[in-house]
Amino acid sequence: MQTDVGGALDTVAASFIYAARYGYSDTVIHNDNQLRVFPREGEGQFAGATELWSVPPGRGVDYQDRFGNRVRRLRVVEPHTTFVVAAAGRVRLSTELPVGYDVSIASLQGLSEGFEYTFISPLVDPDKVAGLAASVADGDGSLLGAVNGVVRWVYENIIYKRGTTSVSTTAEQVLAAGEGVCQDKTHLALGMLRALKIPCRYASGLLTGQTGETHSWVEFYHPNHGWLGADPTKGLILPPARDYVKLGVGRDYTDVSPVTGSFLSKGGTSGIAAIAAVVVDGEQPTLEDALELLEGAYVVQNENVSVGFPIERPERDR
Amino acid sequence: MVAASAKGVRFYSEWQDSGGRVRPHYAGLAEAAGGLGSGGLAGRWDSARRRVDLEAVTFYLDPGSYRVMPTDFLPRVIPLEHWETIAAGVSQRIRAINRFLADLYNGGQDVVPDEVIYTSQYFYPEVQGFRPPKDVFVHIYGVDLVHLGDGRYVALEDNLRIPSGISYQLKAVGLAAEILPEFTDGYEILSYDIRDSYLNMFRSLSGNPEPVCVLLTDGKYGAAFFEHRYLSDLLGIPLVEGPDLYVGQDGRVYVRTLDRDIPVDVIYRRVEDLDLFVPGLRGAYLEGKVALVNGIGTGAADDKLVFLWVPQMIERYLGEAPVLEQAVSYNLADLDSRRYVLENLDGLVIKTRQGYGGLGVFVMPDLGAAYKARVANNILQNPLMFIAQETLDFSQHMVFNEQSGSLEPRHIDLRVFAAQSGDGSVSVFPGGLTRVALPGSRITNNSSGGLCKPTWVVR
Repeated sequence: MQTDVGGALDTVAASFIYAARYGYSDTVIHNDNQLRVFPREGEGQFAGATELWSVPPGRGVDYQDRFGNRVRRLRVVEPHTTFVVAAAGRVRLSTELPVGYDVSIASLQGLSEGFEYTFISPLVDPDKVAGLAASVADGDGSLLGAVNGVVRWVYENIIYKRGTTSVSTTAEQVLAAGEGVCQDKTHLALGMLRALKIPCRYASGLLTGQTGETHSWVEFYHPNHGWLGADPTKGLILPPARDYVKLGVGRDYTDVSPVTGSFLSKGGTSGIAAIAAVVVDGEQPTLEDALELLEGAYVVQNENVSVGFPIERPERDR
Repeated sequence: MVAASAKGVRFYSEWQDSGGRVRPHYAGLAEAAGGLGSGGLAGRWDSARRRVDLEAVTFYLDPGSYRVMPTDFLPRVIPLEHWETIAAGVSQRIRAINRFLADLYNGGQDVVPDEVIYTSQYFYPEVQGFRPPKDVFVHIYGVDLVHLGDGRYVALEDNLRIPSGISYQLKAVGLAAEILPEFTDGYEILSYDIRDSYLNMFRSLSGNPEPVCVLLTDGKYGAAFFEHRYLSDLLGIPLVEGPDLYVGQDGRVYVRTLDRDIPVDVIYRRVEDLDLFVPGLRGAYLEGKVALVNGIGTGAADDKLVFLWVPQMIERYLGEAPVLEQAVSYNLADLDSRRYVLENLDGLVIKTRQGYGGLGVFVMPDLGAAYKARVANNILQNPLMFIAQETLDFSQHMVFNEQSGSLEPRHIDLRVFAAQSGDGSVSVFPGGLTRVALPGSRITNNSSGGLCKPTWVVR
């Protein structure tokens, strides 16, 4: 039965859960967060209803940010030492393969749509990777040729390795280290594509059929087809929409982190666990499902975080 | 003496006209200062400083490091016709902003874009659905103005959380009158009584005709502790720290005294994070058990980016045209504005959105090329963290230099304070706190090391 989500004909329904738990070493007086855990609409994804829970519940308000992400500003003022946030819902994903006819990069210039995604951003400085970008792109100035060249280069030359980079590792640091996780590969590819004057954005979400960490990939702008995907971690361009549940887009990770915020406490963070899952044809998940899933999550970071505003949560896309 | 900017623009001088003649409303002061001579003035300045020291008129820049409020005692004189415009404009702003806050937390305001208001650090979702006593969120308000000349006063920012400075305004005027009595000869200075205004306002917020009021301070190491002490003396209300208050079983707030614990009706709070000082205080307020001055959540309109929409608030909520101009400002989240700002950085001031006290203010024409490039880079990386404003060539006043014995021009601004009562009436206190920038700077905030001056409104 697939009745709760509308959409095109050639689609598959999937249910998803994102859950995270933050532990603190002392009582937290207020915990103020921006949550980007609602599925996006568009690029082959059709969002159904999403439920968002938190413990303690706090109070919140939803708004749309300038990248089109639905965001919940949630402020928890109940004293607490553990904060849990869980989102779950259903989406319908296109099973059709995206089509992209090649065009020249020159045809992208001056378009207002991609303007926001052409500059330096907190973790991506195109100037710092411009030399590499020029040598990797094939010389004919075609959009798909350039994207393919960059994505293949990052896939083949940056070793997938956990634990050597952090949430604040920049694109040029990834290049220098030669290794990293999906977030790092995405940042380096974005820097190279922006250096080639291709508007491109960071997409964050979940991988269909998997339980584990969140994922990230690249979307680049095509003048006729809009935003198209490319995944430097998998070495793919134009991957099928059905493989991903997209939660947010932005200039880099700092714009789309699922949970961003600050808290006021005499102590620090004592442990953070996060987990995500997407099940094809799954039922609408409940809070209990999310909490059960969270039981199996391992602590992704265990470090003290100083108090201030804003603090990026040390939790990452892999 | 007239100063020129780097561009060769002459700034408007409060003291004298472009021909170097002392302006009529300063003639009496010029005569009195001339009569005392440099030596006489230096002597008076010296005794004034001793008084400031002895009375500990302090404003700390680093918590706990002792520093008296540096003051120049040559008064700033505002003609009554200028003041009437200022007072009308200030009254309009506090009323409109209060209506906006009531709408934000109790309706669906659509004046300010969602992303702007909901990303404000001081927007508090837990206040939604709450109506404060008499629907007043903003009781004490301070707005920073600059004078472009000839009665054109322009608003730079609104202070709606815990605006400080009114004690320095009162103290500077009081000390000047004592130490330089000849200065006031021939001037009819508008007087006012903040004691009655504040106490009437407190009363208007409580069902108790003789409410128990306290002033909650962050303690003697806080920047404005002098002001907390001064106001508690002036108003005759106890000065309390966090541990002096607690929330009782019945949900009310109590103050501990030597013989018994007394329920409190109104807390004039001078701290931001209430629950850090008094656990449960926020909840008690939101349940209507105690009145807070100012209310919770006012900071959402204190945000420097939200400032852009104050003229629209005045039009929407009061149906009036704004009396005061305000600095032309740009929302950098808007792509066209961002493009304009990056192309015209040289003429702009960049401010961090959540900064206060002159911190995070970059006057681009006064900065070097490398610094400018860094600011531009920061704007690109975090456009929602900054606002841009057109640079204003605002007025200068004279400051007495004790070393050289001469008068020297410095930029000044004016923070005007107002109080809003439960019946909706607004008192705007004549004068304000005139703040003086350091030489060569346009940043006047006391947190950035500037001086203050006594300020008179004269008939």
